[in-house]
Amino acid sequence: MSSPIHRVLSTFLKHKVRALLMGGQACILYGGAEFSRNIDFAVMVSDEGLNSLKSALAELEAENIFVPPLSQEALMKGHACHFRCKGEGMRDLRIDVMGVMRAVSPFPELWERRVEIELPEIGGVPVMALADLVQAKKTQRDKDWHMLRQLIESDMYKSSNELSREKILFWFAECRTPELLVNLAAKYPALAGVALEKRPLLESAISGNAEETARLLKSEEDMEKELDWRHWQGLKAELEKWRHEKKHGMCNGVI
Amino acid sequence: MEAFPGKALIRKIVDNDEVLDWYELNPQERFAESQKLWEIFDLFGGSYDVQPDTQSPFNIFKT
Repeated sequence: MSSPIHRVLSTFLKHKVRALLMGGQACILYGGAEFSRNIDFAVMVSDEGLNSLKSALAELEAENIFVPPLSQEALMKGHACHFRCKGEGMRDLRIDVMGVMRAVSPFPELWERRVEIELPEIGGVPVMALADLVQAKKTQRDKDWHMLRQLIESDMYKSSNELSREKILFWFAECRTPELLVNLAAKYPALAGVALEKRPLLESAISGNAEETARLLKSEEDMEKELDWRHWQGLKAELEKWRHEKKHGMCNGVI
Repeated sequence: MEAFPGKALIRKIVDNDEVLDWYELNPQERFAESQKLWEIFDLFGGSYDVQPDTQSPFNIFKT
């Protein structure tokens, strides 16, 4: 019998859901070493997009859990909608969908940059591009920052002999391993200078100081965590309000 | 542009053969391996509940 993940991906393709695989399952494809028990998607927030999503969720017997109920308004505000698959063999697998994420490009741009990964017995699965997945992973959670480091290390480890300027600039912008940044700067000094404009911490990598680079990487991480925490404060207040209303039977499903 | 000679350095930094083996795989191979983990997970009666994460904004739901 196919796994619940397999079933979700096949069903989303069957219903032509305009959704991009992201989160832990996408990280696995890109080289993150993780065992993820749920499946996350970025979805197109439109009448057509949500209709196909609802069809797929219905086939998977996925029930909306927690709050908010699935709606364009909730998704456009940046909320996630959560589901549990109740279909046979689905083992209550959780599906989480989002339409808008902090510091991540709008969905149409994400869709344009998508990577289609052909998976046996499933088909071509649209996956969020690595550069976009990296942005989406810059959250307040420690484990996401560990994953970010792995994603770039894996990308570097598997890199082909022919490297593009864009790829090297991407590594300068996102690599979180001090020793690799120092080596990268030594190998490509001109591009390091270009990348420095957007990422001042590269100054220490260019000067060969891995220890200082590590310290600045941690500051960079802490700042992003703080921004993400602040971003969620308003959303969490709204979630609390909806949860209270639901608990006391005041939620009519309209947000 | 020639290859970034970082592979040896990554091996030294990561210093974990299982992780390096994982990096060597292509997406299809990683997906296949992750599916095997689900089989083992099922065999041992693992729960599909998402692990509690106190740093997640969704922790208010106490899943």
